[in-house]
Parts: sequence; C-alpha cells; structure tokens
Amino acid sequence: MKGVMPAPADAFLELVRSHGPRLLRLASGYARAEDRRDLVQQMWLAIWRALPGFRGDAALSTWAYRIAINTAVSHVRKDVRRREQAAASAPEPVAPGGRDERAILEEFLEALGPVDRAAMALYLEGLAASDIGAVLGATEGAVAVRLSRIKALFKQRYLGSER
Amino acid sequence: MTFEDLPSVWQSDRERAPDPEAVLAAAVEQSRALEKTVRGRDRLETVASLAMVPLFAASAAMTTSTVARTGAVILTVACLVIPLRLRAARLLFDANGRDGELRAFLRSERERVAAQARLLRTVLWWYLLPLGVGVVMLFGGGAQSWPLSLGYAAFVTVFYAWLYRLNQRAVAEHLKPRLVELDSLLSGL
Repeated sequence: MKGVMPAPADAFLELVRSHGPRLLRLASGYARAEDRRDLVQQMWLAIWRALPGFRGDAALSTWAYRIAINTAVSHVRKDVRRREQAAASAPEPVAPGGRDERAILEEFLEALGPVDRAAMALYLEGLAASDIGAVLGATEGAVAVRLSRIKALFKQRYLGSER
Repeated sequence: MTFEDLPSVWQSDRERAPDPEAVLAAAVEQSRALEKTVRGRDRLETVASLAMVPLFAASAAMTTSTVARTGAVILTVACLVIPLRLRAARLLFDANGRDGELRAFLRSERERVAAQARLLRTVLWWYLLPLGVGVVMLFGGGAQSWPLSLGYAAFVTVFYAWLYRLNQRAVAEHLKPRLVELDSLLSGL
C-alpha cells in the first residue's frame, strides 16, 4: 500500500466493502448481540479518524485489523463485570454433537482472555501466524505457541482428550 | 468438527455486509460530534478560568488586607495554571492512537492510565491546596469576624477533603484495577 494513497473517503469505502463482514464477525467475538452494532461502529469510527495518519508501513488490512482489535480489547475492558460473570458461568466440557457449531465457537471465544480471543478471532478469519503477529505485536513463533495452547484447550473442552 | 474446521465454520456465518455509504456517513457524523464535544469542553474550561482571573486580580488590587490580597493572587495564578495543567494532561490522554500493534497500544494505554492516576494522586498539590488556601485567605482576610472566617475555613476544609477523597477513590476503584488488568494483558502477550 506504499505510494499513492486514495482519498480517505475512497479508501474507507473500499475497507468497508472488503472488511465489513469480517469486522462484524470480529465484533461477535467481543460483544453480545445487543452491543455488537455499537462496537462495530466504534471500530469504523476509529478507522475513519486514524485514516489520514495511515502511512502505509503495514498493509491496509493489517492496519484495519489492528484498530479493530485494539477497539475490541478496550471495549472488553470497559465491561469487566460482564466478563467476570461470563467467566463465572464458563461452560462445562460438552460434546459438540447436537449443538450449533457457531454457538459452540462463540461460547469458546467468550471464555478466552482478550489477547487469546484476538489471536483466535484472527486465526478464524484465516490470517497466517505472521499476520496475526503483526496485529498483536508478537513474533510468529509466539503466535504459533498461543494458537497451539488454544487448540489444546478447545480439544479438551469440546472434542475430548483422545483427539 | 475439528479445530482446523473452525475457520470455515466461522466464515460461513454470512453476516449481512454493511452499506459502505451508510457506514461512512455515520463515521463522519460521529467524528464531527466528537470533535465538537472536545472543542466545547476545552472552550468552556478556558472561558470559565479566564473569566475568574479579572475578578481575583481586581480583588487583589482593591483589598486593603495583605492576607486577602495574597489569597487573591494565589487564586489568580491558580486560575491561569490549572487549566493549562488539565489541558496538557488531556492532550496526553487523548493522544492514544489505536492503529499500532496491540502490544504498543496496551503499553501506551498503560502510560495514559498511569498518568491519569498520578494526576489524581497529586490533586491536593496542584488543584485543591491552591484553590482552598486561596479562597480561605481571600474570604478570611476580608471578613470582619474571625468566628465567621474560622467557620468558612472549616467548611472549605471539609469540602476539599471530600473532593480529595473522591479523587483517591477514583484511583483505587477504577484506575488501579485497570493498571493491573493492562499489566496482566501485557505480560500475557
């Protein structure tokens, strides 16, 4: 993205087209349905306000993910009580059979801490470990270790230890 | 379902794509509203302080009491310095951009919260004491009766002690837990 930068409005519209559904999914990992719209709007507002300062040091996509994740993590911190309640009601290990896979995934995300949740959400969006590292400020190796730990946790909780 | 299946499960959830024009319009409107609020807040603070400066300066010039004059001078200086201090702090508080890596963002957020906590911890020295001492001296120096001055000083002391307590409670109940949480997030990265 170095070089010619389109006018902020054009770049913003392009980002909404390419990342709109992604940010909505990302927000679903950090906010309940009733707050999701608000969180997504906060993400877009932060992106719009930061856009004039975009220097092209990272890909526009990585840059947008950074803002979205930072906004999402801030959103989580504003609502400590809700997270504590969510943690207190962390689900018992269950088998996935008969349950909506998407619901299981959302439940699993909610039980993770904000940083693990960010890494997992970006993994779910299909980002490579190096790209996740560029968003979080971690090395590729550190991201791989984190994802491996999250994977073990998921298996233990939902798939049973044999898999 | 395996762990490797999860990205396809996640991405198969086809959230309705937002209307780009509507998202842009909302962002522009919210951004303008935010800037208007910030400008209004700064203007109000500056006007309120500057409006008090001539009053206290005039009191300092007109009073015959040395104690009252000293109080008026303290208040005049405080009305000039306190808004500057608040504004400098707010510039730091508002400056935390969100476009950096999560680690850099959390570090900068921690700095911001720590600065806010320092500001409130030291509120006695840069805010409460100058204003409290100033008003007590101005009122006490000009008052005809010392019991009245004493009563006023007691009232101001109790009121400012309450303000001090509120500030320290804000540090303990809101800022300290946020610092602990940010430290925990940073150490986990």
